Amino acid sequence: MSRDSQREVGPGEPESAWYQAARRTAAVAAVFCIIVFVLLMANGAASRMADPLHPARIQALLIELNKNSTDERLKQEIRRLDAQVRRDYFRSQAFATQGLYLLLAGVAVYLLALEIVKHSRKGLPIPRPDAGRDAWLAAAMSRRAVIALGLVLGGVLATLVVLSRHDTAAEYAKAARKWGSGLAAGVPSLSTGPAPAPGQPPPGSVALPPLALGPTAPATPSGGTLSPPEMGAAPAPPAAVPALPAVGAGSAGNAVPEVNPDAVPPGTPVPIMVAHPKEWEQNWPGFRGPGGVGIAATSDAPTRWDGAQGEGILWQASVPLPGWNSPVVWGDRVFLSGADQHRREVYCFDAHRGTLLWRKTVPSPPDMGEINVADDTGYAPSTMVADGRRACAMFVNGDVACFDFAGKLLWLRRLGVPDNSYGHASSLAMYGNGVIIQFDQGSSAEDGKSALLALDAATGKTVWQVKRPVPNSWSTPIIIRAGNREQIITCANPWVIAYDPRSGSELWRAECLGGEVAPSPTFGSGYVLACNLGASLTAIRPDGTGDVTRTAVAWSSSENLPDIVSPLCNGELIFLTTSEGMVTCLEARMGKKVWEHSFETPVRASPTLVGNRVYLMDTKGTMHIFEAGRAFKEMGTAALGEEAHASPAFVHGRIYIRGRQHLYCVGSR
Amino acid sequence: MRRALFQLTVLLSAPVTAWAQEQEKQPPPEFSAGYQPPTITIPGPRAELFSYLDIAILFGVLCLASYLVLKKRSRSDLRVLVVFSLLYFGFYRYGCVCAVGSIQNVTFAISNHNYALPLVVGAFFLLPLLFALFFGRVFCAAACPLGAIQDVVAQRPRRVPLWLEHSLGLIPYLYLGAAILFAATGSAFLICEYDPFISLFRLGGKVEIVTFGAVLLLLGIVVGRPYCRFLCPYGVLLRWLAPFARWRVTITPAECVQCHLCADACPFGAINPPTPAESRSRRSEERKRLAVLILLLPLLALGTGWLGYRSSPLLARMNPTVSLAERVWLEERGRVSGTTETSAAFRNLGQPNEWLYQQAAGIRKQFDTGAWLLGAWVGLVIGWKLIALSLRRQRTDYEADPAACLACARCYQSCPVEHLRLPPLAGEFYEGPA
Repeated sequence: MSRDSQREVGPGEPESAWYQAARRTAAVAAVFCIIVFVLLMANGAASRMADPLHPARIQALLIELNKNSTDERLKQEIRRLDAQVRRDYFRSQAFATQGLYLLLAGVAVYLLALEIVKHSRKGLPIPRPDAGRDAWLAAAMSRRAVIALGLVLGGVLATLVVLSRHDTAAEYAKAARKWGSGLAAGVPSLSTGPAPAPGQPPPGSVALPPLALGPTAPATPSGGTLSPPEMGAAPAPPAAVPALPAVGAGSAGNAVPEVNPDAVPPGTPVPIMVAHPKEWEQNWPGFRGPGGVGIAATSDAPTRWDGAQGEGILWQASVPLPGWNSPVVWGDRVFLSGADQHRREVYCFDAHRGTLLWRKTVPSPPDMGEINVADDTGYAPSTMVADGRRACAMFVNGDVACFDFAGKLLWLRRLGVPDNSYGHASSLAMYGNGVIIQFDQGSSAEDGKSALLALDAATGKTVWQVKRPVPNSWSTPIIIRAGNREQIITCANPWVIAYDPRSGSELWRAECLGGEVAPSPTFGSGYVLACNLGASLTAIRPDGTGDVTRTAVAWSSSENLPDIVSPLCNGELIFLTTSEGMVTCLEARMGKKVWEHSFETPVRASPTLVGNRVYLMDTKGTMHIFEAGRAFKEMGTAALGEEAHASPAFVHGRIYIRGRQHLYCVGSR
Repeated sequence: MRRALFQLTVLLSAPVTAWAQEQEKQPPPEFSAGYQPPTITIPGPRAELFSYLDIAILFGVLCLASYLVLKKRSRSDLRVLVVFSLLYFGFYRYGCVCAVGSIQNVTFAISNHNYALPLVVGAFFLLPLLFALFFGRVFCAAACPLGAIQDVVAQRPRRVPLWLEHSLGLIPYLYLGAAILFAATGSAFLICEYDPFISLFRLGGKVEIVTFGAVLLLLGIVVGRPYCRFLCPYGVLLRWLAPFARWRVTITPAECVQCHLCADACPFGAINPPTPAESRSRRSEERKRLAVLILLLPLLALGTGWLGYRSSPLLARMNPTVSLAERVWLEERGRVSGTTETSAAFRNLGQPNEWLYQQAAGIRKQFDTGAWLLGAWVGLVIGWKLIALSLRRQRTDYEADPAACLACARCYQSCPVEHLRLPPLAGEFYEGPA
């Protein structure tokens, strides 16, 4: 440091009153600051030691409570302690804030007083006319210092170079390039898939999109442990097909944004998810509930009601347009779609009161002509899908529309009227942010019209699509996690095909179906279960690759096969239901028949497992409730008083049932 | 000594209090006892009007600072403005938006076309530069809250030896280069992340950053504005523009009496003394050195550029995507066991690993180029500094270095010639190194 150029007041010289006052103020301010500082330190340390996020006493009581969950006294004590911890925490926060302001004020006073002290002691400066004559010497020294700094920096850079020797980027960049070239060629490549992470579900469970089945997942039936897939042994990916043409651009006067985005290259991954798995399981997001296998997360559902008398009916609402699609429930909203030959609509009801919150018309294409559909199909047979932000619907004319929960049309895709003998009826599924559509059409596989698509739920853009070697079908895909990978399972004549939901790549296929395939697959006891009248019920291990017809089929059965109604499996038993109302129970492990019972009434809705009870609705609107056990045991019947074809939704102890004209909520407030 | 101890104690309290202040979110109660959690409300964005107000205030402060420094030549009035800026831009506006950090926004806007630069950020970036172009570094004098807080604590500033001043003065250039690289690649906003004073303005923040700020303030008691001189990347831009200023600080209003008092009064070493006469042999030696340095400059830049390029894998790991891709790759290959929180979160997203690799590979390419440029920049800065130190500039009087001068007006008070112009001394304290 340079030497001082000014002289301070000498020891014998008198000190001004300003000086003395300022000095004392500075001393007091400093002591004040130190006291506040010490108090703040003590407060901070106490706050840290208290560990408000994990209070030991509460943790101990919680463990006790786990052992005895009905102990009200213990609960009260925990609540009291919890409130106390919170009070202490916020008191400590307030103390810290106020203390800090006091400290700042103290520092300000201290600095001000010091300033006055400094100036009161200041004497006159002393000129140094000879200073600054050693400029060249200083420059030389500076050069040396800069060179030294340069050498240090060079050393730092050299160290970075040494530490950068192992460049893994070069390795993964190759994988990325390969993948990228796959995209460019329009061929979705197989992902090696993620390594099983801690907390991920065991193999052999139904996947809830997409963080499916964490530790808190519902007790879906799962089978035995499956061996992991063989890496690199995947079959050749199927040839990608160009994105389906978007039909029409909306009528000229149509104010709704025609949402028909250009398709993104196939193979682009399905982006991020919206809802947490816990939310997924607590709602009824699509056909047959979370997972699409007809198993309710709740074990509590009413067993008695009478629609005609209004007994046990919480509310009943009129549905403006007809449709056989099932109700979808998310939070306090129930979604349905309805359509006739000329109009397509989506409805959102208040789940608690049945009020129609909004009713939105899906714009008609300008060249909307006649569409011939079977009565059993109708114009809105596909069940919607919801993800907590959006609700998407598909209609028999191939229109897919997505609305936000406020009823705003987000996008509309026109996939074109499918070539389907009864009308397209496959429901939507969802994986991550992708809406999965099984778009099977044509009278034979050779028509080459069938495809599986994933649309981005946010934009409607095609994320990927793959050709399917099948004719038209009416089955809905399900998404499962098995063999350490997630799979979309599809059924059609003659193939059960599993796809990677991220890229659409085919994982495996089994030839076991025939005829007009309408029942959706299910998954239980470690097997994919696919069935159809005229073929068989087949149990397939989902850990294979390529054509697994000869290698992965565990057993098959031809007992009372369904033609419309989807099978149900509780992990131990399988329940098949024919359209005539014959229910057959089989062992899931070997396919051996356990019992059969005929309700002697037509059935179109698929059964649902609630706890240990199976709920099966017949077309007259009578719900048959029987035990999911090794012997048939009827547990009750309840009549809706209205024809019903749709599968009911079971959420939070309530049942939402769609009749021909009304939507019912069975349950209590 | 006692005074210094007091200051030490008081300033040391800053990190501890920030630690005490550190906010932690309480988890929701585990029991429902009829308690209805309040609805989460998201406060609306700050009204646009206030953004314009910030711009207007900055403009006003810059105008006023220019007037006080260049026309009124009043240090005491300038200090009032310094306190205002500290309170408004610092404690009231929490140090954000600041011109220093705006470099990154501008860089990011240039490199990323999807990012629209907010008007207020653009104004905060450009206004100080425009004023530097006309009036010198008046922004540093009174408008910058980071400078203001250091100015307030500068109680006994001493001059730093010239060799140290010159070598440490290179750090802002390197910091600027790194900040641009990381902002351009979308990796990090280094300047904001490591802003030493913002946590003091906000009365809370990471302990290590608050400690860093407190250390700088402690150092600031005896070393004038250490952050501005030895770290501030925005200062580099101001240094480039200030020499072109038409109106700038002139120490003496009349003839210099060469008393050296102004150089002693300047705590920033920004006053250059008259150059001594030089022998012919020495001049020849200087010329040779200069020639060698000029010839070496491109080689030096190429060499450090190559080193920078070779170190890009490590630098790129600062990018979260690259770092995650590497982790996922290692997990996939079984080279590491278990997962990290981020890798587990990524897997849960359902994205293919290859997608992540592709993203990371793209960023790596940017880093290859960027790290090369950063390395070359390091070489250029060092080489140019050596050249600048070998250049001969003839000075007959004491002159404020236009690039380094922070326009704090301390030198005016020290100049005996200036005092001839002013009313008797009672009005102003002499302020300079004690």
